[in-house]
Amino acid sequence: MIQDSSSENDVIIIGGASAGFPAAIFSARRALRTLVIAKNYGGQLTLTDSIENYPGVHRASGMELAERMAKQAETFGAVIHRDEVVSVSREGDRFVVATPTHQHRTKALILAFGKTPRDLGLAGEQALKGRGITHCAICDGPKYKGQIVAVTGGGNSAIEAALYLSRLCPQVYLIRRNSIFGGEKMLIQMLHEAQNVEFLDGEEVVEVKGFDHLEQIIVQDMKTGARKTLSVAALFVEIGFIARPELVRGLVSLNERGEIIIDRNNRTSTPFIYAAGDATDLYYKQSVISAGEGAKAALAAYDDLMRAQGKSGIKGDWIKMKKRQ
Amino acid sequence: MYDVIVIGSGPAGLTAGLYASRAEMKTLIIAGPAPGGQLTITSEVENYPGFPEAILGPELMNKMLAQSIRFGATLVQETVVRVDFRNRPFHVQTDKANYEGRTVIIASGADAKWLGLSSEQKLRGHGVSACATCDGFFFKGKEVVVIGGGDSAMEEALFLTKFASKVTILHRSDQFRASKIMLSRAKANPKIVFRPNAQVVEVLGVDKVTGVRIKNPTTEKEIEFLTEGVFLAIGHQPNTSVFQGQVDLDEKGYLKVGNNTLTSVPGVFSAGDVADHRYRQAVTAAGLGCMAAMDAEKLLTQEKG
Repeated sequence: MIQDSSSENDVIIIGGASAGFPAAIFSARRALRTLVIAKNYGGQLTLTDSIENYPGVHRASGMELAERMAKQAETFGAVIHRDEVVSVSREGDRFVVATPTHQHRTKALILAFGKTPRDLGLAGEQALKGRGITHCAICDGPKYKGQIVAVTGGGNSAIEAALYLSRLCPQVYLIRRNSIFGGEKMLIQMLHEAQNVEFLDGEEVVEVKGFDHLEQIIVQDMKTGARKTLSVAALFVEIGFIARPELVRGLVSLNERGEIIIDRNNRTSTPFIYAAGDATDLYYKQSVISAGEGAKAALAAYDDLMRAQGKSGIKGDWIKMKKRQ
Repeated sequence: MYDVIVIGSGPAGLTAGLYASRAEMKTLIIAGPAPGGQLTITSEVENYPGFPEAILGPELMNKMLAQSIRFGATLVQETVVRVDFRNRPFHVQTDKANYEGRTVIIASGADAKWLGLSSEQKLRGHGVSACATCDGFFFKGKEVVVIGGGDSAMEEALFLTKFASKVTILHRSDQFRASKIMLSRAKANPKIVFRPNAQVVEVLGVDKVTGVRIKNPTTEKEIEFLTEGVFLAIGHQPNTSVFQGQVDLDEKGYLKVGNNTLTSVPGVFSAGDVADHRYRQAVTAAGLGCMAAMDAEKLLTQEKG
């Protein structure tokens, strides 16, 4: 039996990680009734054992940082439900967000559900996540400076990761099951010129080994079945993402990759729906950027809600002097 | 020769420095005379995500500073006096040295604005201040005014109640752009009095502030208001004067940016309040600093190839 939540919300934020919690902090601080619905805290933050590039925080686990942000949002009055969103729909001038047991109504919606990097699906892979197996070269690459690493994946993100790592590491293996697709020519050219990148085309990672930390990977030639063992300090898995656009498809415009299209103030194609973080088409994917984006989405929502009531919203330092587009 | 020269050391500049140096780019941060930017003159920062117990502005900046140099960035406490962005490498001249950079990230921020009255400038440091956290202490037991209607005016007023016996918020209109939570906090404080429709037209006093002359913008009526301290919280001026003629600025002096951090000069990027007059938050500035470093890194990698 699905229950109607009696309380009315100004803002519902779907997602509880680098973008969602900062959005909740800024929304609640503006005295908007704010509800965060997140199945799991932390999102991709939890995929790393230690974050050292979130400004102001020298070192913390991803989970720790997410929990600190959540606590901060609650301090200002945001309510957080650990629950899964199963559908989002429109009902008059409200949006209805449904979980398996409840329906929540809101005036504005912030989509901050991120995206989930795809795993290889190998035995032992989960145990080594954040301990040598990672999805983010910019976040974790510098931790493996001076060491031998591998990247697997056939698209641009794998090539960009390999390129980034080639400047930090003496040797980088790039393992591609299929090299026909993906990859800008120019980037591949640069990768060939990097000298320290070894291409393993037509091969795939079939095993990962290590106790506390990744030590070796086993790579198999897909035609001959020949196997070899590579000793690497890290494996960067860049084989795409599991996006959740089904949840909002038809409600907001998506690009060809299933990312939510936003303008520079985090508005989507639908009024009163905003988006922030990795679920959007913003090129950059870093937690501090998502945090800033979450803050902007909340301030845009506040702005629009105030204007809808005939009150003045936020103004830039001088933007009030000009007519806003 | 540096890969990246970051000009400025607030959340945007230090985050840019952190990301650039962590990506093995040879990075110089030109911090200005006092590193840390505007947050060093704020008290508590409550809304920077990751600090549920709030953190003092200077403390947050010390953390960012240590973090940005931990990965190898060089930080100098110098002031940029001249830049030449016509050819690459770019030239940046400070009060002490000349530097060359393949790319430049401008994160010089914005400073508090003044009313522009001669009486105000004359009494600066003698009762007129743009920084309550710096100067509030000197007004113990005295009556002061805060000029402005935004969040920073409410913050300054609340901070001043620790020292002053009474704080009057003077605002030229009756519309406040402060957030609800800050407005209601200020309203709940018994030491704070609101006086809307009050435009300050003159600061009164010979050696020190004795009052202000305020005008009601609709009735044009002027009165004298007695006070011993005048705190300004009326917005900001971007720090771009040294970049004039080198990179495109808008009519208020903010850097013109295209896609997120790109300025009119390829290889020169922007981050933080120097281009953002809309959000001006520590976390949005930090995010932009990160973007600028990533954009600089991408450009350098492409050019190398």
